[in-house]
Amino acid sequence: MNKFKTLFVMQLKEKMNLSFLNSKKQTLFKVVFGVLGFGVITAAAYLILWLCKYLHLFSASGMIPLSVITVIYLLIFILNAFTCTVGLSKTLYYAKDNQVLITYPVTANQLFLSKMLVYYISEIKKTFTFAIPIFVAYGVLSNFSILYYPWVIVMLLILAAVPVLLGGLLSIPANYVIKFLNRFPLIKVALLVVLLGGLVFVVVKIIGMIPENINLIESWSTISKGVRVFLNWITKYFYAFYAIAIFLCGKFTGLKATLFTDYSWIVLLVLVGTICTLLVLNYLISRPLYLKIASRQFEFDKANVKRNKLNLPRGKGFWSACYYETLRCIRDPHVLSSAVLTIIVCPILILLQNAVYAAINTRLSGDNLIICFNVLIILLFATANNITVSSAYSKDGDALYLNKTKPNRTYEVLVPRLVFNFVASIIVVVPACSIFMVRARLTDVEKIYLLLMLMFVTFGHLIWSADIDFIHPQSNLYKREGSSVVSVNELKSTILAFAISILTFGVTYFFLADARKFIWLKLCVIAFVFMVVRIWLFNYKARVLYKEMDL
Amino acid sequence: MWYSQLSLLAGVIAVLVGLFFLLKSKLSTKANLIEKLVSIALAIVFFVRYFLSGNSLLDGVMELNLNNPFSSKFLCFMVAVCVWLRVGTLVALTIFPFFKQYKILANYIKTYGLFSAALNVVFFSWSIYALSGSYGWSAIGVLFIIEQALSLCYSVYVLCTTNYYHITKSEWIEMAIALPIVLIASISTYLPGVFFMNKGNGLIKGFKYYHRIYLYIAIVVLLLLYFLLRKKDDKEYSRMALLFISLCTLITYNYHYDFSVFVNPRSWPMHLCNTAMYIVPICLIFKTKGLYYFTMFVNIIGAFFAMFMPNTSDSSGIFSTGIVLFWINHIIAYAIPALMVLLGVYERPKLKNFIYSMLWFIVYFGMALLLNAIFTGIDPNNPTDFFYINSDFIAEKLGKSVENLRDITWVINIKGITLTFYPVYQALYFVVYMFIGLGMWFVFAWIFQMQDFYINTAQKNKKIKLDELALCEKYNEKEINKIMNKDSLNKLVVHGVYKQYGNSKYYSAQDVNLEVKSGEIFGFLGPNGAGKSTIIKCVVGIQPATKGDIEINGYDIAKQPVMAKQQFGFVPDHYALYEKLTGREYVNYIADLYGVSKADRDERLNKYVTMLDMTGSFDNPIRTYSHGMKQKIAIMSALVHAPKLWILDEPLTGLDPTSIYQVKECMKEHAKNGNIVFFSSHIIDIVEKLCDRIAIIKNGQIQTVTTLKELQTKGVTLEEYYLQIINDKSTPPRMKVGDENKIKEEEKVEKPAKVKTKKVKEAK
Repeated sequence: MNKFKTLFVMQLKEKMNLSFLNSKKQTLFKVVFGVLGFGVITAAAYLILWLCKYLHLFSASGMIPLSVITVIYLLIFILNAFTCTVGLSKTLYYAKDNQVLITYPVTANQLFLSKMLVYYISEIKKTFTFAIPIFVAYGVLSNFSILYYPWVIVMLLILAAVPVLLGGLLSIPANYVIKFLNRFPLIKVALLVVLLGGLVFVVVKIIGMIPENINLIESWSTISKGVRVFLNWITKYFYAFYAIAIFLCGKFTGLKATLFTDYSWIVLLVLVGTICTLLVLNYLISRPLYLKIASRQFEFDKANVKRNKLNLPRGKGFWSACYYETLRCIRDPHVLSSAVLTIIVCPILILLQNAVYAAINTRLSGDNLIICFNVLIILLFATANNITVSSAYSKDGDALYLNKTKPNRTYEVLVPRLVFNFVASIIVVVPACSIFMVRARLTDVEKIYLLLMLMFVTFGHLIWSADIDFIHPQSNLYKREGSSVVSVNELKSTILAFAISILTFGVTYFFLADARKFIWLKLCVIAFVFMVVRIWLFNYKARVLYKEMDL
Repeated sequence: MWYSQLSLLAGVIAVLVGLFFLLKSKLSTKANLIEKLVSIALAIVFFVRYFLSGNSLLDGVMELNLNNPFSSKFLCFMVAVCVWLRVGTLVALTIFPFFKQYKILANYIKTYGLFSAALNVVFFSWSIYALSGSYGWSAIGVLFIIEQALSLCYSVYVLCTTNYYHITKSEWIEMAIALPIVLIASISTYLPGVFFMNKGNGLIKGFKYYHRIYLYIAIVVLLLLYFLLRKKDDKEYSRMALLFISLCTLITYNYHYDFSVFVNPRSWPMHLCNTAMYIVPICLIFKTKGLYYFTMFVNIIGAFFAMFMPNTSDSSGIFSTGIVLFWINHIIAYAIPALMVLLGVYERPKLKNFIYSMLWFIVYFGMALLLNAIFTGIDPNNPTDFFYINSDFIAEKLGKSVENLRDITWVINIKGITLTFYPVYQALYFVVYMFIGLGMWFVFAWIFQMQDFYINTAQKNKKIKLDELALCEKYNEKEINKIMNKDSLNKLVVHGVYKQYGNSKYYSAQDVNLEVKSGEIFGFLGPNGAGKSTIIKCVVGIQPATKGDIEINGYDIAKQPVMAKQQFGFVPDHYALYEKLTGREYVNYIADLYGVSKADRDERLNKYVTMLDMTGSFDNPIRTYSHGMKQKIAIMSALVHAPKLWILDEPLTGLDPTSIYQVKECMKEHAKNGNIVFFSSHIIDIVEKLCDRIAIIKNGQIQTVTTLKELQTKGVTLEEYYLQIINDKSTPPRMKVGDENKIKEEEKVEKPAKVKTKKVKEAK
C-alpha cells in the first residue's frame, strides 16, 4: 500500500504541478484565481442559460427543461470519453515516465491503478472547470433548493469516473488502430481524404439546405419548435442521460423540482453498478495488456529510408536555417496536422457561416456584426495555428541548446523556426478572408486593409507565442513527459489567442458602430503597431536574454 | 483706489527685500529653515485667499467672452492667463525648499515663475476685481497683494541665490518637457471649452468615439509620465514631480470650492475619486503609508471603473467644465497612485499593507454610509449619495435581481430623522469591492513582475553595449568584429572566470585561469560536479560567465560571440540533434551556418563518413540512430568547418571501442594540423595517452595544470596524480558569492600591515 501511495503521490505531483503548495502566497493566488475562474465560468453559463430563458427558446414558459441539461451532459460525456481515450492512451502506453516506472519494484496492478487514479483526479479538476459551473448556473436560474448544490457536485465527481474507466477500455483498441495506421500510411492518408471529403460533402449539403431568405423574427416559432423536437428526440434515444439529468437535478412537477425520489435511488444503484462493471472490465482487460503494450513502445522502429545523397548548400546561414527548420516542421506530424487542419477547416467554416448570413436580411448593424464575426472566426483559427510555436524552442530542447554554440546572430536561430507557421498563417487567412470578402459590403481598399489587419494581428500573436516560449522554455517538461503534453506556454498562448481575437472583434465592432471615417485604415494601423511592438520586444529580449536562456 | 493698493504692494515688496538682505547677512545659516517657513506662509496665504473667493467674477473671466466682467477682451484674457500661470508658480515656490537638490525647480522659478509673478503684479488690480467683485479694499484683495508680492520676491530671491540664468542645454530640454505638463495640470477647467469654442457634443460614455479618445488620453498620461520619470530613476525626483502635478490639479479642481461649500458637509468631496484628489498630495507630502495603500487598492480601481462607466450628463459638451473636471479628477485618482508605487516612491505592498488599506476602506465606507443616511434623513428631497451606495445608480445597471436586494431596507427613527439603510445591498457592495481590491493586489503583482523583467532586461542591454564599447576602447579598435587581443591569436585563453547559476549562493566555478596553445591536446579532468562542463559551457557560449574573460583565437566569447563561435567546433556530452532530419541534412545545415563551401564540405564529409563508418546510415533519419551514431554526427558537424579549436565534453561516453579509436585518431590529426583540441573525460588512460597537457578541477577551482612529460619525469602515473589531488582534504570548499570581494579587501588590508611590519623592522 505504501508503494502504491508513493507512486500515486509522485505522479500526482508531476501531473497536477502542485509546487504552489510550497508557498503560501502562491497557494492563495491559486485559490483566489480558482474561485474567480469558477465564478466567471458560472456567470458565463448563467448568462447563456438566462438568454435562452429570456428568448423562450426551449419552452413557452421560458423555463429551461431537463432535456437541455441532458444534451449538455451528453456533449460533456462524449467529449470526456474521447479526451479520456486519447489521454489515457498517451498516459498509459506512450508516457515517457513508463521507462522508469516499469523498472520500479511495484506490481503492474499498482502501476496501472496509480495511473488511472491520477488521471481520474485530473478529470475531477476538469469537472470543476466545466460541468459543475454549468450545473450550478442552472440551479441558480431554476431556483433549486440549497441541497441541490452539494448533491450535484458530489454526484458529478462520481460520474467523472465513468468516462475515465470507459477511456481505459477504449484506449486499447485505439492504440491498435493508431499503430495500424502508422504502419500503413497509405490507409491513413486515404482515411483522411475520406474524412475531409465527407466534411466538404456535409458542408455543401448544409449550404444547399439553407433557405434563400431567413427571417429570424418571423420564423422564430418554427425554430423554437424545431429545437423542442430535437430535444424530445434526444431524451427518447438517449434516455440513460435523461435519467442522469433527472437524478442530478430532480423531477419537475410544474416549475418546481423534487430532488430525491425513488427514481433517484434506482439511478444511483445503476450508476454504482456501471462503475463497478467498468472497474472489473478494466482490471480484467486493460491491466494485463498494459505492461505488455507500454514496454513495447520503446522498441526502436528502424526505418530504412534513403534520402537526398548530395551535400547541397542551402544558402547563407539564415536562409539555410529557414529551409531546414521548415523541413523539420513539415516532418513533425503535430505541427503539420495542426496547420493542415486549420487551413482546411477555417475556409469551410467561413463559407458555411457566410452562406447562412447571406440568407438573412440584415440592416447596417447586422452587416457590421457579420464582418466582426468573420474577423473573430478567422482570427480564432489563425491564432490557434500559432499555438504550436509556443512550444517550438522548448521541444527542440538540447538541440537548440547546441545551436547556441553556432556562429549566428540571435534572430538567425530563433526566427527560422517561425517561418513554417508564418506561411501557414498566410494560407489560413488569405483564402478564408477572400471567401468572406466576396459577399462583404466593403470597398476594395477596405478589403485590403481588413486583410492586412488580420495578417498583422496573426503575426503579432505568432511572435508573442514564440516570445513566451523563448523566455520561459519548458524543455524539462518535454524531456520528461514527451512532446504530446500541454505546457503552460501553450496554455498562455491559447489564452492570448482567445483574448486577442475577442479584443479585435470588440475593437472592430466599436469602430464600425461609430461609423466614422477611415475605420479600416485605423484598424490596420492599430494592428500594425501591435505587430511592430511585438517584433521589437521579441528582438530586444532575444538580443539581451538569449545567451542566458537556460533550456 | 488702485494707487493705494499699489502702495501696499510696493510696501510689502520693500519689506520682503529688506528681509532678504537681513536674511543674507544675519541668518544665512538658517536660510533653509526660513525658506521653508516662507513657502508654507505663501501656501497658507494662497489657500485662505482661495477659499475666501466666494462672490468672485472669476467664472466670467475664465469663460472669456461669455460673461466678461471687463470692458476689454484683452484684459479679460490677460487676467485669465494670470490665473492659469500663477498656479504653477505658486506650487513651484511652495515645494522649492523641500526639493532644492533638483535644479529644475529653481530653473523653473527663475524663468516661468518670475515671468508669471511679474505678469500677476502688472495685472494685480484687475485680478483683485475679478476675485473680489470690486476694485475697493477687501480681505481677498489684501491677501492677494501679499501673495503676489511674496511670489515675486521669492522668485527674485531664487534667481539671486541659484547662480542667476546659468542653465545648461540639458536643463533647458528638461524644462521644455516639464512646461507643457505643468500647463496642462494647472489649466482651468473652463479654458479647454474656451479654446475649442465649446465645440463637440459627442457622448463621453458607452465607448463612443469621444469616450475612447478620453480613455486613450488617460492611458497615454500614465505611460508618458511613467517613462519620463523612469528615465530619471530617482524616487525623490518622482515624488517631487508627482507632488507638483497633484497640487496643481488639486488647486484647479477646488476652483469651485470656497468656505460656503465646506461649511455644508453635503458638498464635501466624499465620493471615492474626489477624496483621491486630497489623499494623493497628502500621501506625497507626508509619506503616510496606511493612507497610500488605501488609495492604491481602492481609488485606482474605483477611478478606473468610473472612467469606463462615467456618470457624465448626455448634454455636456466634450470640453465642458464638468467633463474636463471629471477626467482630470479621475486621471489623477488612478494614475498618480499607480505611478507612486511603480516609480518606487512607495514600496510594493505586502499582505500587511493590504489589510491596513482595507481597514481604511471600512472607515471610509462606514462614514459614507452614515453621512448618506443622516443627510438624506434630514432632507429627503435632496438625498446624499456618497460612493453611490445610497441610490440605485449602480443597482440599476446590474439588473432586476440586484435592485430587488436593494429593496430590503432597514429604517431607524432618531428624533424625527429617518435613517434608511439597505443592509443586504450595501453589505454586498462592500464585500464585492473588498474582493475587487484583493484582485487588484494580484493585478499589481503581475504588473510588478513585468516591470522588473523589463527593467532588468534594459539594464542588461545597457551593460552589453557598454562592455562592447569598453572592449573596443581597450584595444583601440573601432569595429567590434575585429580581432581584439592579438596576444590570444591561435590560443584559448580563460582568464579569471567565475560562474554563478541563477540565484545560487555558491560559485560553480571560481577564478579559473587557463591558456591552451595551438597544436596541443589539452585534457580537462575532474570528478562529477567539479565544474568541468560549467567551464566548457562558458567557453562555448552556452552559459555566460558571471565574471572574467574568455578569448578564442583573439575573439572574446561574451562580447564578440559570433566571431568567437566561428573559431571552434563543439561536441557536447549528450547527443542533441534534430531527430527529424537525416544525418546528412543535419551536417549540411551546420555547414551552412559556418558558411562552408560545397567543395570543402564534400571533401570533409566524405572523409569523416568513411573514417567514422557512417556510410550506410548517413542518409537515414537521426531518430533511428543509436547513441554512438548520434555522437559521430555531432563530431562530424563540429569538424565540418575545420575549426581552430575543437572542444569535446566527455566525447567517448557510450561509444564502442572502434568508435573510440576513430575519435582519438580524429583528435590527433586535428592537433597535428596546428589546431587546439580541448576535451574533458573521465577515462584517465585515454587522457594519459592522448594529451600533451592536463588540468584538474575540483570544487569549481583549477587545482593544477601540468604536462604529461612532467609527470613522467616525476615517475608518477596520471591516475596516481589525479587521485592524490582529488583526495587532498585541504582543498578549500566552493566559494560563496561575494566572498571574492572580501578576499580582495583582506588582501588590501594585509598589504599595508606588511609594510608597517617592514617599517617597524627597519626602525628596530
